[in-house]
Order: sequence, then C-alpha cells, then structure tokens
Amino acid sequence: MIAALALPAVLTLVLAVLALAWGDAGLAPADIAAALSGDPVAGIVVGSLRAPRVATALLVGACLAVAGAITQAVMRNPLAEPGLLGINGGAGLGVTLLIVHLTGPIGRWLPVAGFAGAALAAGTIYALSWRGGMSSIRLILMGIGVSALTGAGIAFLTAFGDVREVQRAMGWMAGSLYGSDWARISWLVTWSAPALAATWLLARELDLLGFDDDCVQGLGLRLHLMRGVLILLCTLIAGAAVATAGPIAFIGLLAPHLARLSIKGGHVIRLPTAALYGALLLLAADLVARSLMLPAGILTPMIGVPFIGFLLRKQRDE
Amino acid sequence: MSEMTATARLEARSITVGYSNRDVLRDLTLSVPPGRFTALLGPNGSGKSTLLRALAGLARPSAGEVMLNAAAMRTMSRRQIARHLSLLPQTPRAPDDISVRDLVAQGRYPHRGLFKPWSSMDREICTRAMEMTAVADLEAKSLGHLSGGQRQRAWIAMTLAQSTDMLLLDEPTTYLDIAHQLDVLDLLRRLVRDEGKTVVAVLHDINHAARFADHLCLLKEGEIVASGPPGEIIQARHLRTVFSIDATIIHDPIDEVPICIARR
Repeated sequence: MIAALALPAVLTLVLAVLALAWGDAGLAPADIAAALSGDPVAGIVVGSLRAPRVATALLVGACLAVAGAITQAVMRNPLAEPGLLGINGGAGLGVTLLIVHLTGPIGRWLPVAGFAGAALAAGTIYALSWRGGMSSIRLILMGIGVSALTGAGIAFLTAFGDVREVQRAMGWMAGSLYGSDWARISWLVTWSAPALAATWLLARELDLLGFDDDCVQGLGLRLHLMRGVLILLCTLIAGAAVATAGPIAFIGLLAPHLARLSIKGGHVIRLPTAALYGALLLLAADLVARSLMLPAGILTPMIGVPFIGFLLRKQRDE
Repeated sequence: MSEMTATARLEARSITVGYSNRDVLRDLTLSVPPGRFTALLGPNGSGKSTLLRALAGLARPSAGEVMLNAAAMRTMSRRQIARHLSLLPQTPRAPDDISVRDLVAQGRYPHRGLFKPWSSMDREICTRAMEMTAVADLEAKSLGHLSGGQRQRAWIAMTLAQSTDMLLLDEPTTYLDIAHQLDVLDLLRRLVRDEGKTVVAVLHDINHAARFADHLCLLKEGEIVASGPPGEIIQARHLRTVFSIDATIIHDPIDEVPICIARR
C-alpha cells in the first residue's frame, strides 16, 4: 500500500522541484533554497511566478481527481467525469457570457462566473433528473442534455461576439494555469478544502454507491440524500477547480482509474491516491505545456484519449 | 394464534402497495412468524417481490402500515431498520473487483458511525459470517471471479454480518444449479434452527419450499390466498387456485415432506 503511494508521491515531488527550477531563468536547487531563505530575485521568480503555478497545478489536479472519483461512484459508470455533471459546460457558458457581454475590469470575476455557471448547470441537471428519487442513468442522460445545451449557448455567443473577446473566452476554455497567483489559490482552497475533507469522511458511502439501490438501502444508507450531498460536494470541488484553471479534461477520468489500478481497497484509501495522481498528471501536463507554450488543457486529452482506449480494451479482455 | 401475533416482530397490516397507478398488493395482512423460515410462493406478478420490498421498508404502502417491533416502519430511519432486518435483492450488484472480505464488511455499515473506526468486534462478526457460509477461504478473491454458488453465499455472508434477527431474501436460489440451491436453502434452515433467525424468502420451487420452510404463504394477484405449515398448504386445490395447475400431492417416504407433481 505504501509502495503504491510512494511512486506517484516521489514523481510528484521530482516534477514539482523541476517545475520550480526550470524556466526562462533557470534555477539550481541551491537557488530555490536561497529563495526560501530570502534571496530577493530568486524569491520573486519562485515565490510569485513558479510556486503559485505549481501549487495551482497540484490543487486543481487533486480536485479534479476527487471530483472524478465522486462522479464515477454516483453515476456508477467508470467512464463518467465531472464534465458530465455540466460543470465544464456551465463554467464555460458563465465565463463566455461575462467576457463577451460585459466590459471593464472583469478579470477577478472570471472564477466567480465560472463557479456560478458550473453550480447552476449541475443544479439544473440534478433537479431535472429528480423523479421522487434519483437514478444514475437519468442523471447521465440529463447531464448529456444540459451539456449539449450549454455547448450551444457558448457556440451562439462566440458566433456573434466581438472577435477579441471571443478569443479571450476561447483561451480561458482551453484550460490553462498561466497567471496563477496566491490570491486565486487561497480562493480555491477556501472553496475546495472543506468539501474535500467532507468527501473523504464519506468514503464508506462512496463505496456503497457501487451497489444496487435496494441493497444499499437495505444496509441503511439514505441513498437519495447521500447522492444529493455527494453531487453538491462534487460541484463545489470541480466547480472551484474549473473556475481557477478553466475546463481541464480527462484528469477527472484518469486519476481515479490510476488509483484503482494501483491500489486495492475502498475510497478511504482510493480518494487520496486519486488526488495524488491528479496532482501528478496536471503538474506533468503543465510542465510540458510550459515548454511548448500551450495551455495545459490542450495536453491532457493527449494522455487521456489513449488511456480510454486502453480501458475499453482491458474491459473487453475481461 | 393470539400468542403468535403477540410475539410477531414483523407484520404487514392491511397494506396496499402500488407503482404509479397500479396496485400490486391490496389490503394485505401478514404476520411473519418469528424464529421460523417463511417462504412466499406465487406465480409471476403475484406481488411476492413487492411484498418482500414492503416488509423491508423499501416499497411504501399507500394504505396500511408495516410494523417492525411494534413501531410503524415509516417512522423509522433506514439505519434503524437495517439494524433489525437485512435484505438480499434478487440480483444484487456490487463492483466486480470488490473482494469477498470487503463485500462482507459492508454488512457492518448500519452499526458504524461517521468517526467510529473498524473494531475487532466488527472483524469477528465478519469472520463468523464467512465461516457460516463457507466463504472464509475465498475472502481475498474478488466477487467477479467466484462461481454463482460462491457469490450467492458471499452475499448471504454480507447480510449475516449485518447482525440482524431477520433476513429477507428475494429468490436466493435463482440461477444456481440444484446442488447449490440445496446448499443455500439448507444454510437458511440452519440459520433459523441454530441461530434463531427469522427468514422470509421468495421461492419459485414449490417442493423446495415444502422441504425447507416452516411456513408458506401463497400469493395471487396481490392477496394471500393461503398460509400455514407446508403440510396444510401444499394441497391440490390451493395449487389450482394459485398457479392454475393440476397437481398430485404425494409424500416423501423418507421424511414425510409433501411433494407436488405438476401434471399440467
């Protein structure tokens, strides 16, 4: 168990040091140590440029991974990810609306618009699939429907919006960690940390969601309440992540699978493992993205798509 | 009879249960005999499974009341109910990669609080449940790799780990070969005789019910047509009313159990 966690942990650490050291102004590990002990130049490069970006990558990656684990459990579908709850579509629509339709200094409102859009879309999906109870399949169908709707909304706005503003909205929707700063990180932590802790406390309930409805209710689970609570937590976590970095696909799908492949046991151990893998994946993607001058969100599908192929192949073989 | 009702801990009092606009059970009253093995028999669509779900508190009656230990079930929380009765649905589903040990451990769910860690008592109860069902050797295996009979026993172990007095099972022998069917039924009978549990099971095979159960309930179109010990219930006229079959009843020369030979 420790060994299974050690690999991603060590890799994450190595990549984090690499991400702090590497850039236009290369820093030796000694310089990073100097930054920590107060050297002003190294301090600015590390402290206000690279460290926030690394911290954001780690946090957003972990959030997406945990949100993905929740979605896969609630929807009972190994191919589910937070995007199916309308999080990405809703956030995208909120941000596009803000950028294309409002003028003035809107930069700091971007996360708010993204978060509100995500919450609204997830809430709509939940409300539409409620029929005196909640079924996983109805949730998935509504998720697809509402995502299509938000996609149409975004397409409409971008088709008729001002080119420069549309360009900016599209840039946000590509998903990037560029321009991370400590203020945004503290905002992300405020929204996601309590939800992450609550999710971990509900690990046993997440385990039970993999069973059929009658069975878990027979075991004493308040199924509908628990689904609602977990969808809310997922919305908070994924919404905060997407609001911070834009929609970054595939981490929420991949990380829980990596956790499942590398470790046996319930969500109590799987959730932290998935979070670790999510952090690692996004950090790696962002490092490559920085070297190619691309947004990280464009790179994650490049890892994600082959992995889905691998999963489907594995399922077929079983 | 009056004494029986006084000690009965699970009963349905003139319940009507339906889905959307169709009533599946109509004004049905049933007192489950405690410490006995009760089998629910009836043709497809007669409401057996619905009755079982109603007794488990999963199907809400639109009229009448299900009483558990003299308290109305609708006033109880799911967790409270789960501490008194466990339910095994007809085709229970769990993730395929879950190990038998982890599956059985889920049975402890209603007894554990948010911050209450896994205790040695929880472990002992799970071990005992696996021993009783003879799956202890398989505890590290994943559910997906078990045979049908082993899987069913693992599920029963999970319901046993729930430490309830009452066990409700929906067609626990479906999809099993004859030897495994007898295994499961024998296990249920032992749970009743040796552990003092109350078992209610939906069964399809009349002869199995007659051989293993202490009490039979025949259902037709949402009503109980007859109930009592197998010797009284397995009669040609009852079987004609309920299943519309012509049957001859003979008796097993070895242990006097009625055997139904269906002719048409």
